[in-house]
Amino acid sequence: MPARQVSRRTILRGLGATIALPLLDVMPPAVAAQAPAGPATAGARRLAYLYFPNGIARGSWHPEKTGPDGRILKLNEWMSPLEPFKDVLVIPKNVWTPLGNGHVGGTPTWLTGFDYDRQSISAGGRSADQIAARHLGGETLLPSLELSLKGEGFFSNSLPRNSISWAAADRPLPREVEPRSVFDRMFRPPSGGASHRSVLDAVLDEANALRGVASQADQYRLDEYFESIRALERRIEFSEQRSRAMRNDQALTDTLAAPDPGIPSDHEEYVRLMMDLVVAAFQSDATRVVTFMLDHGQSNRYFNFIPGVRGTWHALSHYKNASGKTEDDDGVTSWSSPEEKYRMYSEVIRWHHRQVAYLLGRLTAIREPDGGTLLDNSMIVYGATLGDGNEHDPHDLPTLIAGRGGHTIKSGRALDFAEPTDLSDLHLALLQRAGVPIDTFGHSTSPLIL
Amino acid sequence: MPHKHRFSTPFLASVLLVSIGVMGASPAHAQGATNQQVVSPDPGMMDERAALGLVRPLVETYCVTCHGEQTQTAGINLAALLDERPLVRNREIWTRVTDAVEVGKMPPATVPQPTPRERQTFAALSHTIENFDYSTIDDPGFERMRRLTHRELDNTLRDLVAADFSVTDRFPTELTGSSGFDNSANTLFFESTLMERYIAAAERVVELMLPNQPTTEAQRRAHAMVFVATPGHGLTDDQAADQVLRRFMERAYRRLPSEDDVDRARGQYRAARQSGQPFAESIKVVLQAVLISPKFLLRVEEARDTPESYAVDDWELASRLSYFLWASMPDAKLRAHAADGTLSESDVLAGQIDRMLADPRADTLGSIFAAQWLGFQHVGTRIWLDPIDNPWCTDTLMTAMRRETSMFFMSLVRDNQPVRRLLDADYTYLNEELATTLYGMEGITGAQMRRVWVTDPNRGGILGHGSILALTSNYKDTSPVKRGHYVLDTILGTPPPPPPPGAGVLSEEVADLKQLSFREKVELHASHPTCRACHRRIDPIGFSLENFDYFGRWRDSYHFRERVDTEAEADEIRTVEDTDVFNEKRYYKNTYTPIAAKGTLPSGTAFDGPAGLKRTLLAERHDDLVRQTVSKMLSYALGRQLEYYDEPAVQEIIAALEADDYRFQTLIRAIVDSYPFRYKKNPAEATH
Repeated sequence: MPARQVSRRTILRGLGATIALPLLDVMPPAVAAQAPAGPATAGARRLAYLYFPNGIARGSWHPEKTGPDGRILKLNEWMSPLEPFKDVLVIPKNVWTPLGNGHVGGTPTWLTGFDYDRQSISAGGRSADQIAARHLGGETLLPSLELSLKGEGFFSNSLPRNSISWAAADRPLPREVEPRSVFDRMFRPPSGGASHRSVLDAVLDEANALRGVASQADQYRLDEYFESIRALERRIEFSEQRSRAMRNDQALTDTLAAPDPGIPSDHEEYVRLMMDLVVAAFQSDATRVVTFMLDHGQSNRYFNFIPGVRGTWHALSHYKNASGKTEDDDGVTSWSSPEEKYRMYSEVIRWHHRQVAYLLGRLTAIREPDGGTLLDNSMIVYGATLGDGNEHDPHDLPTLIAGRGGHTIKSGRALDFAEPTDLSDLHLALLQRAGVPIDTFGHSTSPLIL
Repeated sequence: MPHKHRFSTPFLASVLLVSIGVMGASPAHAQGATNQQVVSPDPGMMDERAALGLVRPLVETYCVTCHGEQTQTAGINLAALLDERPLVRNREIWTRVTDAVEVGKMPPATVPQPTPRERQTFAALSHTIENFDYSTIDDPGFERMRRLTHRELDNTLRDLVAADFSVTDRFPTELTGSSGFDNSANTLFFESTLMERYIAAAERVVELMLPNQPTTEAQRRAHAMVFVATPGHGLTDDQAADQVLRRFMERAYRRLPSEDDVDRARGQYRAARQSGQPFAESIKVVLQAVLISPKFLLRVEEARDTPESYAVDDWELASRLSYFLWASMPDAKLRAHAADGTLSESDVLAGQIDRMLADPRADTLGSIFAAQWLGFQHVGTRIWLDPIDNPWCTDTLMTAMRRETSMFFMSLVRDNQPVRRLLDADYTYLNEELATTLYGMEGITGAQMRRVWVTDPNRGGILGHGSILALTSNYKDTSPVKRGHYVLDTILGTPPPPPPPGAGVLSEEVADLKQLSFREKVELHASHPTCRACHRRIDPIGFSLENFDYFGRWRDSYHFRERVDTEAEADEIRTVEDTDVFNEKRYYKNTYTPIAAKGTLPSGTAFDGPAGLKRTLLAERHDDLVRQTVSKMLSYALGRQLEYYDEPAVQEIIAALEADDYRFQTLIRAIVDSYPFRYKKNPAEATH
């Protein structure tokens, strides 16, 4: 840690590290003294959606052994990092998204249940996370958080491959890729002259006046402007109230550190930092809704840091062709056989399972005011939009739900559906558990029985 | 002139012959194609209703099971599309449908198949769409309010307060949708995460550019731009503030501030003064507010409450012009013409376009428009080689590669060259590194990019540029398929349909036949019936460019180096020094296979090598090249993707070009004169 004005900061001894908490630095003492004791979060349910690209190899997802009632007894070798959490998982078999799948059609519609229209850039409807954010967001600092890992390679600027959260059918939300920016949004009050109340009032005034001259068709853009200013105002108000509550929360402050600006060069460190921020968001109740894309929808990232893995992720996903000459191969990597490529592909996915296991582990370690763990109160959907990466198979999408949704989910089970079942049924079931009063989602009217 | 899409003749009989040829059906079927029972004998008279009468029962029999209301495979619901009129509204999807049916890709083999005659009937659909009478449409479209792109914001701050740095480098990445340009209104959303960045940027710009004591040249310029009046010399504080703020708002808002705007700003200024801040500091508080105002961050145009189309006013025209040609705000001269209402006068406008194109700010037509159209903005980022293995592939080389194409494009504009020069020119822009590393040219010294005459007929034009050749290659390997597709799609605007699922790669068995050359392998795969229809269009174009390697260096043969076991087989021996295996000898055998760059277009025209390809494209596909150039530039100028109702404008621009040898400045003028650039019409309903 750089030695700068340490005396002015509150130093906390965290997990083996000395940490400065910048939010306490800017908190006016008078406000802190009057702040309420803490947010009423007892039993509040959290929703997270973790997306990974390029699908899986058929046969590497479902449990190896199940008992009566579908009870999960043993996960398969490729899922082994999640073995310690098998009792808090539900693994459905035979779910799919009938209206769109794959890299381009599936990614933007994973959470909407509709089809993607490239021409008009529309995902058909609001995404599940944003529906939840509208209903639950009023109680938290941020209605939702949209996180991604910074893309690499081809398609890293492609809109459909980077968009799973839709505020409206044609409004994909931008995604935060820098850990420090995420931290600042949660824990640093907005500062500076332009965020002063009177300035914000003035620009709102101006935006209002603009409504009179702008076309009917442009009002929505002014709405976006209004919303963005209001979100900022709310953040200013909340940050004043929250400071004291957070300082008193030893468990939170012990583990909280402001990350350095920029993108960590070590990929595992990067992913875990983002996972830590998901935990911090839930723990501090900064938000109850998070989406996290573990890469863009057609990632060509190298995972050569995993022993024995060569080539880019998307190239590996076409594992049945080991020629090294497919369109998305880099032309330098070659494999001896499809079996070898299959192993590398599955290793990459298993590596991601390890990161998810890290997240689940951290959520298990945190106690909630109601006595359970944070994971007990969470519902985490983890999955992809291709049933088999090589075949671009839309059926049986790799999907699992971790967490007990406040003990409303019978966990530790594999669900085997005879008929292809719309992923929207799952979204509907979870939204209802999160407290969203809806009885349809996408084209679904029948929530999955969990 | 109707849009000639895939089928180059307006006569349906010929259309059907073409489709038969592609299907590989027997000539007997071709006879059937002219049968009166199938289609009207005078297809020119066939209107949409008649065509739908023929096609609707077929769609309902063969398509809607998978592409209907219930199941919308690939997101396509043909039942609904049949009712969306005119059919040109969904031109792209219908073209995909008729293409897929034509080549036998649809319906899939597992379901009942239409008879060959029924397949031919689908051509009635493409025929109707092609011959649609666009003169029945009167709609300039509507340029939606959008925020500035990151690049536009940086440029605008440069021109507004002399900011000499980027404020957007840590903003969330801008994503691009189907128009391919980042200035497309339907991808420029306004979200709270961005608002916080804008606030921080406003603060940073004001603090860094307007310190109390300017020390840098840029800061002095910023002061002069902003503080156009100071208290004293007969001016009270309030009077000076008024002048400063009015001028700043006029520039930042790209139109005269309203009295409300002025009152608001004055109020903020006075509040700051009363809290004890000095004159300049109080002004700076207001400037920060102006820089996060919707009138600064958004491109605002005033609406009129009318169902008719109406012209944009001169202030709006000034902004449309400056963001099109400069990707930045209007300057003082444009604003003066907007203020006195003379900008839309045709001689004034023509003079302003000339002046703007001569200004260095117009370089954005090369560095943004051309770079995003042609894709070379990715050279150096996505297009990149590991510098450890390839020490020659430096950042400066890749910058020079981008600059070559960007400067070349700008020279076509500034020298008012014909559109065909894009593909066939006798000059380019090089510096020493680019000339020696990629092009093997001597005698060019220094890092400065300059115009160089090119005598090699293969090299001139963008298809000989390292940037384009690298971005259409795989990592360290050429891809004739990518290059062919690029020419058809990006340059000619006639993309082949996407490959069927699972057909995207060379099959393993084919690839394992090592004794075949890559070309032979691709030819083998292109001989597969489902692949052939498209690949006979794609592959010959790509193969004719094979003399250019994956970074555009010339080669006469493919070079393979294979490791062999014994010295007897080898023609190259390398000694490898290693800590584990000391001085190990390795044996290699090199093979050189001559490159065959001959090809034939589906039209039958044969050509050889890049020069032959360029000649053939300009002889046979010039219309497509022109249409694509027009469409892309119009789309960029409007900040939206083109819709079917823009077709009359596209046709008028093409006609204007035709009358003046297809010259680039005529293109720009015709775009600025076009109906959608000068007019707008409120959308029928607000869809949000």
